[in-house]
Amino acid sequence: MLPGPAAADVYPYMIALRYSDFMEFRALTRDGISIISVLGRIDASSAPDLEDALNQCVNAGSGKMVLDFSGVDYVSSAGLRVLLSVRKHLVPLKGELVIAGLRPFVREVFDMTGFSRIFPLYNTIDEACGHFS
Amino acid sequence: MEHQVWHAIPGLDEGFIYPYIRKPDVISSNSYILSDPGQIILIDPGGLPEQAAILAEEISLQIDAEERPVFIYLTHSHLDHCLQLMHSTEIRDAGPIGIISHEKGASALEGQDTRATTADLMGHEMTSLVIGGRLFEPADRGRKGAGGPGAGILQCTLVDTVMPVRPGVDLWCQTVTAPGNAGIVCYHTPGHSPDSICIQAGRVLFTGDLLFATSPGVAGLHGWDHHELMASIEKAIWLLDHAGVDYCCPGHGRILDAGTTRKTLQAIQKEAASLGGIQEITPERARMMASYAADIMAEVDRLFTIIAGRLMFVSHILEELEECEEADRIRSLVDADSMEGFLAEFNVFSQEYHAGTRREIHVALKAGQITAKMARFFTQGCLAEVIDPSFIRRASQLIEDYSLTFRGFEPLSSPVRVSPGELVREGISSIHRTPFEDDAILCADDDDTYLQALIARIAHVNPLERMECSYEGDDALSCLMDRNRFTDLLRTLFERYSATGISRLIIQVSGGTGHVRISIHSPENHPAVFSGTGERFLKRYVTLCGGSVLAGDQGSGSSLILDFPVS
Repeated sequence: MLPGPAAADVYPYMIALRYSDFMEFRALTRDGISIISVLGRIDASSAPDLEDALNQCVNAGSGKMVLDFSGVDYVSSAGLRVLLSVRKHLVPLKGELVIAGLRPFVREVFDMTGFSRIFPLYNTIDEACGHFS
Repeated sequence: MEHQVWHAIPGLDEGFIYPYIRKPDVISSNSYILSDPGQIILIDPGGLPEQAAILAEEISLQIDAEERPVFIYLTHSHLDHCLQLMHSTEIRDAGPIGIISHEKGASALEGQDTRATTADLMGHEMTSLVIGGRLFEPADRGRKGAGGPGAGILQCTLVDTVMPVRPGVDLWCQTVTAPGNAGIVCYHTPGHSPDSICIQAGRVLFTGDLLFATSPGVAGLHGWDHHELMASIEKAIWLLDHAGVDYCCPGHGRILDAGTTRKTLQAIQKEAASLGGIQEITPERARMMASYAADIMAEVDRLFTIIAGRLMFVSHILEELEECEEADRIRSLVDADSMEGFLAEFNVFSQEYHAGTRREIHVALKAGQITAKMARFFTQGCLAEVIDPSFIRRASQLIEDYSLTFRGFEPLSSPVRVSPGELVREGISSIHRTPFEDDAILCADDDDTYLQALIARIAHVNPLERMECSYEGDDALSCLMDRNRFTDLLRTLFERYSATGISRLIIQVSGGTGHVRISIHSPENHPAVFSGTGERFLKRYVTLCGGSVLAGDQGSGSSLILDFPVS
């Protein structure tokens, strides 16, 4: 389970709560920004679930999205592909996907692949939300 | 012949066969039920309870139709072929049964020999069995007559020499008969195991694991014998030519016609010739292989994610530049979905191992299967236009090393006399080298050249660009090391240090008694760079370079120290 207090106690609008075999994610909104927290592995098995959830957020939200990766210990190329796909959906909406809290392994993947140049990266959710202000 | 359907046995007037064919694995073999007016025979009950239940049900139906004795023949005593003899009450209760196997297999099963039966590797509990029919007893050699296995129910001609395959190579056989049938002929074909036999009924030959005896993870099992195997393959080919065989029923995989079996045997004959001196697969070796598999899969996973991610990155930028056709081409340079599938498959297997439902040998075998499929992903030359060849080379090398080790060989390492100082300086200078000419885009005089220059520029992602490395040492020092492996090791070290947030490294090369020492140190605060499985991976890597790890980087204030023998 995601650590800390229930997200609904922290953020008033929980819009989705989903589980996958090796991954769990929770989506909520704050000040018009969709914040999606992910926990676990994002690989070929779990990436489709993440894509579904992110697309739901794209359809339901304002296009301002923060992806909290502080609970993600592994991301494969399938996971990277999902991020690009979501970014493509956001561009016509003039939205943007911002990523917060990368762990060292995942940060290395972003740096080594060039994805650090595509997505704005921040250390915390609050800093990432500040990207939209 | 169709799976789980009764067929007439070619060459027997009143015999029928019921094949139970499984997708090949190490858990359970194929099984075959034979039925004739005098007896019911089950060849290899297999290793799975559900399989045993189906076989027992089928045997019961045969007994209901006509009461007859049941004999269970074992092509050998590995437990994937006979575990259910110990655990299935349905099989034991199917009727009065007699078990027949090579005398060495009989001794292994009766004596609960966990090595000979592979129970130790597979983690199976053994229970006591009584083997009524012991084939190929030494005392019977060269004699003919009645008696032998299952006396009172069976009659058999004792061991005799079949026509010599060639001078010095004899094929021993024993014919086992029950009242009212034409006899079952057993041939001793050791190599996969000392007790391996082939069994002939009519024009059908049951070959046990002879066709798989050279497979990685199988070759080298306890009792595997290279010399005996070479001879047995020759004997089996001889049998196909002289014993009137139309079909071969293997212990794993589909039934083959004689022609296909002959080609298969000829192929494994060539393969077997190269297998002299391979290492035995012991539980300790299986444990080592499982940890090795986990380590290399983690690194291959990392490298593949970088490769696939870079392709996506380049493709994405090209799309934004409205070069969609080129973006599609770049994206399709690797079959990322398949590769991802392999990695996810291994991860699931690994999770099952950690949950206690898989054994070390299963992990090693799965990694062997997966790395064989992966190998082709890293041999595609066209990737080099987008990807730093170092990533592809390192992934290929890891896969090749595992594959060799898995097959029982030592990975190839070629230590030569080098100046480690020069190699370190070269490694440092490569960090900031760009794989493109600055003015290549401006100088491009046609669309294709322009596009290639553009791709080279986009594809160049240097995660080490903030890394500052300094070198202190004596270029005159020389040592023995595998030059290419050490170059790749340096690159891996730079990436690992960088991933922990380190941006400054000091590399020192110094001389010592009998060794040259390479120390890598960061003046910055940082966590341990290699710990746990990472340290294990590093030690193996350095060993293949020809050196040893004297001290791992345990975090701030410590150094990674590698020693290499002086030349």
